[in-house]
Amino acid sequence: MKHLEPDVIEGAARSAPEGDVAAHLASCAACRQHVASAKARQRLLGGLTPYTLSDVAFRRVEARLEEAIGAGELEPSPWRWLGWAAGALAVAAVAFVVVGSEPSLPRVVSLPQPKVVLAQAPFHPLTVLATRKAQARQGEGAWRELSPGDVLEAGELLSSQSATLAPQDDVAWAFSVDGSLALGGVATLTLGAGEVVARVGAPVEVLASTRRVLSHDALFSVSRVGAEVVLQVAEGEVEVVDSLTAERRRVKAPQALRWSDGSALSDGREEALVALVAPRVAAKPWVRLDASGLAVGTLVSLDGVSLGQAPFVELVTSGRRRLGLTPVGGAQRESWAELVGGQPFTPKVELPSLENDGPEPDAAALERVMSELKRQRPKLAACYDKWLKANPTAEGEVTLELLVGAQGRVKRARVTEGTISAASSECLVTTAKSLVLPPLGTDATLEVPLLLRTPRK
Amino acid sequence: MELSLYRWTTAGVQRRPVTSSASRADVVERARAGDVSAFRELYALHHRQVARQLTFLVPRSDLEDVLQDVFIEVYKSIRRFEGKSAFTTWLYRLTVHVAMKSRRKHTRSRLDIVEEVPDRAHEGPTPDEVSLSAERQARVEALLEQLSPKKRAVLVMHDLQGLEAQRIAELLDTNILTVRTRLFYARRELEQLAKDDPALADFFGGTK
Repeated sequence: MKHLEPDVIEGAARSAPEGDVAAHLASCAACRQHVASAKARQRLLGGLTPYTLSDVAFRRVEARLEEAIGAGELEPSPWRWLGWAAGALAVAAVAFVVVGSEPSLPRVVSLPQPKVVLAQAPFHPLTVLATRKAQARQGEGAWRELSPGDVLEAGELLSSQSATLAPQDDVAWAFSVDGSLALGGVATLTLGAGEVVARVGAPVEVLASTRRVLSHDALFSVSRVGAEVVLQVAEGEVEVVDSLTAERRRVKAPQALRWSDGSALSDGREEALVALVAPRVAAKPWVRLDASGLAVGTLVSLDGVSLGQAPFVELVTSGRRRLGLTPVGGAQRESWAELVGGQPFTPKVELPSLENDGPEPDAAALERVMSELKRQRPKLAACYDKWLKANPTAEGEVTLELLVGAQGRVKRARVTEGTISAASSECLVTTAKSLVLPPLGTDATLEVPLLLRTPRK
Repeated sequence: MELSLYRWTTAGVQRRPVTSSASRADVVERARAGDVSAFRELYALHHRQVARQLTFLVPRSDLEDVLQDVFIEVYKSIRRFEGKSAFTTWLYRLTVHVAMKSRRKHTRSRLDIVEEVPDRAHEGPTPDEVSLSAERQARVEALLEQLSPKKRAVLVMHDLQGLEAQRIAELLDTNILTVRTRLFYARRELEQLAKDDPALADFFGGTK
């Protein structure tokens, strides 16, 4: 049986076959298979969404062509430069090869190298310090969700509601981004849309639309919406270069300027400079603080610096840190948190709280309190006596932490450091809470070291 | 905040619109005579059309570079345009030649790619108005890249850009039989590649 021609198969795939074609298909399984495949392929190709370049990309091409032409990179047809006789020979030779052919295009198109080779900006892997709804992907790869501790390489595309990143090997610069950008390549960062806030102490280049922002030491932000670029310089100085015209302009702090793509740099419109908050860069070693277990909206702070509202995860500096948790509609509670480098930390609202220290009590008041504590030392020693009864060789050092109210009442007490029996520890806390000390004028936390030792004979 | 309208110029040369066919012909003539400003106007007139013609012919990440290559070739070859065919035909032929000779570059970010306005492109057959998901679109584009440049060019020009085989033969400076043969094998190869792709195989579910 003779099968259907390709054109007929295409037609049958496009619309319901009739007549002879329909009759043939009814009796030819192979032809039906071809029609079904063609129909699937047509759907596949018909579903493709056309695309094109952005206006900025079109202008970039135009700028590179301008530059290449201006620099004489693109030599016109060779016979223009030949003498008459040589030119005639060249024309004859070409005519011999492509006689009768209208386009006179070379069979093999040899392309010159464009003159403008965009330099690849140096780039070092970046560590994600903090993030909120951020994802990245390498080239055409799948998007992956980002979390603190993840590392981003050159060539990655980043899309984020909020992300703070810093190089792995140093903290000479860091940036936070709200929007989309590309890492590395022709610039350190290429902003697609949104805002980048950067604190830099090293050469960094941010490309936004046709504007290149070069900085060695500054706190600045670059935002881009469509073809609008806004630059704010809060500290230091940056240089802006127009990629199309190579025009340069220095912008010193404090200054904010707005340009439209294609406008001259000298046309930049001044704006009020808003306060810029530099991206916080935690010193190493980092601790992964996971606040995703807290109630939504709980405000988290470390050493008085707000980290944001839960849920979030962020890399922070290790050490003994003052952790503040403020539930929605509630009061802030603070506590000490031991953050150990390399170990994750999950804040909990159940942590024992310490009220804020008020203003520093004056030295004289503090002296009076310490004298009173020395005077009442026998009450504390009674606890040690109980320990000695249980263990005649017992001795040690402890730190008693007292939260003393403005009127001298001990609001809270606990043993924070040292080795002592549980019973003696409880005794010390109970005794301390019963103490009445001279008024301090303000709430204060006192750390009282106690040396528990029998007199040497 | 109100934004003022900015006049935009490139390298100090302000754009000027070129609308009538007579003035367009004049631009080509001036470009042939070596007038650099006329070349700028050619770019302003035709860059979108060339980019559209390059769509799917080259990887989307290479679109910007190949567009630049096309206009470099225009600059170098414009003196050899004799006016025996329309300039747009000559330009289309050159565009396809450059696309077929281009090597994969992968130098650009996809941030500069935007979706084309639907009614300005994609004149090919659309039996079912079904748009593909972004992932499927990427897979189909990857399959197109696997075809040889000659087969891909014929398939894209015929099935996506809607050109007749005879017209393609003229543009590629070959005969219609060769075009039909390439088209046949390109379609068959694409179908086989798609059937082997897990993300696309369900399109061919009823054919197995």
